[in-house]
Amino acid sequence: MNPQLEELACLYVLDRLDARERTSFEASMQTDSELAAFVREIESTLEQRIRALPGLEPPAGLLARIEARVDRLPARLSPEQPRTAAPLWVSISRWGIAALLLLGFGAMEFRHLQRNPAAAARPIVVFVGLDSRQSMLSEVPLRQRPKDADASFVQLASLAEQMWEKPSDLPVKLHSTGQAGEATRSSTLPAARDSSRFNNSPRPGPVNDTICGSSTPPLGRLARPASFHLRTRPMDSIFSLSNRGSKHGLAHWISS
Amino acid sequence: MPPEQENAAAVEEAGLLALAGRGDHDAFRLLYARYGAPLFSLAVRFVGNTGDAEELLQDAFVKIWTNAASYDSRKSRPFTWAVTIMRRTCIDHLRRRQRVPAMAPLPEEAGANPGSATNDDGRQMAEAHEDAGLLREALAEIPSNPRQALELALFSEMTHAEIARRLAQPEGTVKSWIRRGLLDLRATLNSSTR
Repeated sequence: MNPQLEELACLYVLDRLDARERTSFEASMQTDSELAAFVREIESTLEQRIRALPGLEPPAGLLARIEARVDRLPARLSPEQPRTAAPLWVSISRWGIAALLLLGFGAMEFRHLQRNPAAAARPIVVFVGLDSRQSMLSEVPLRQRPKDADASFVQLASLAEQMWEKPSDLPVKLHSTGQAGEATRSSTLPAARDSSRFNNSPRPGPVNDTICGSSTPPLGRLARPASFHLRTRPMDSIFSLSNRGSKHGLAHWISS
Repeated sequence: MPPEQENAAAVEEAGLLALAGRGDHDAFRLLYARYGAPLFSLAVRFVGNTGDAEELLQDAFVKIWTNAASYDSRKSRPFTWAVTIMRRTCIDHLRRRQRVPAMAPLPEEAGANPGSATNDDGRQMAEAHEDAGLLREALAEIPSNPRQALELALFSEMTHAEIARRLAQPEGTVKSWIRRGLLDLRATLNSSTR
């Protein structure tokens, strides 16, 4: 095996490839048994290295605390869901859900914008991702509002791409329950850095009902004008909806 | 652990993940029994204190539960998958806090705390200590640069660029050293277990 491929394999096992490299490498591994075997060897080496760390026992009672948290999570769908690319209809349904979700946000935010035009001076971008494994939401402040629709498109597309390159950097994550339209804010999340950014108090309403599982606190809504981006992994596409400057919202397909 | 045993363990653990993905709490407890100690040790190594490590271990196991159904054995072993979850959880934590991880010295650490080994069974403890000793010896045989690059890649939240700055080398060299470190470690472990 050539050194470049070995290097990729080592970085793969260490989780040090970016999303694109990882996907490409995993595809190679499916068809290259020698590569797959090499990865297994490196995994074994890594396992030995980690198991040789000074052995520390987690405190007694930690498992009970974990199980208590697990019990509070919403019920899951059967795991017999596809592990790789989702069927088209699933993607389409997700898009439908996402679009409804985003339109809900957009409409709501537009109403807020109408009530409070001054808020538009502090633009933000919200990223929302939904798929069967992981969903995410992040709010990112922008330095300034784009001057026109084209500038907005470029800026938001660029930002979305940057953000999704490092999903682990997103400050807020949602974990999909697998149920249509339901996601729950993970109990592992830190509090929003700025409490004014998210309203975490229970508040009935269509948006909360859509976003949150029934047994979890609603995420709340953003009381500011916003743009929304959605990227679905099976389709590898980004959907963007901005409530700014348009009564009905502005939708973009950024990449596909 | 011999390769056959490793493979058998991986198959078993993949089965446990599948069960946990269907909501089987017993399977989840078995996974915790197997992974709890090594992941906790990993978290302590990352963040440098047991308090944060406890919280992070909780977070990681909630993620393991939540994502167990999506585990794909074609992509990784169950242990690697769990380690990735633990590492990402630690990295997120460190980046949020903008903290420098408190990393222990590299070669001396393996097996440095035999009194708190994870297995109650005496024979298993002895085996664990023996493995740690082998690992310590194997690490000592790896040249300093590849060893440092590997350890930083494995146990820190640093990006390749940050590791490169720390080691005053180009990123390409750092990646090459990481590969060298893993291959050397594999070779020395293989030769010492023969």
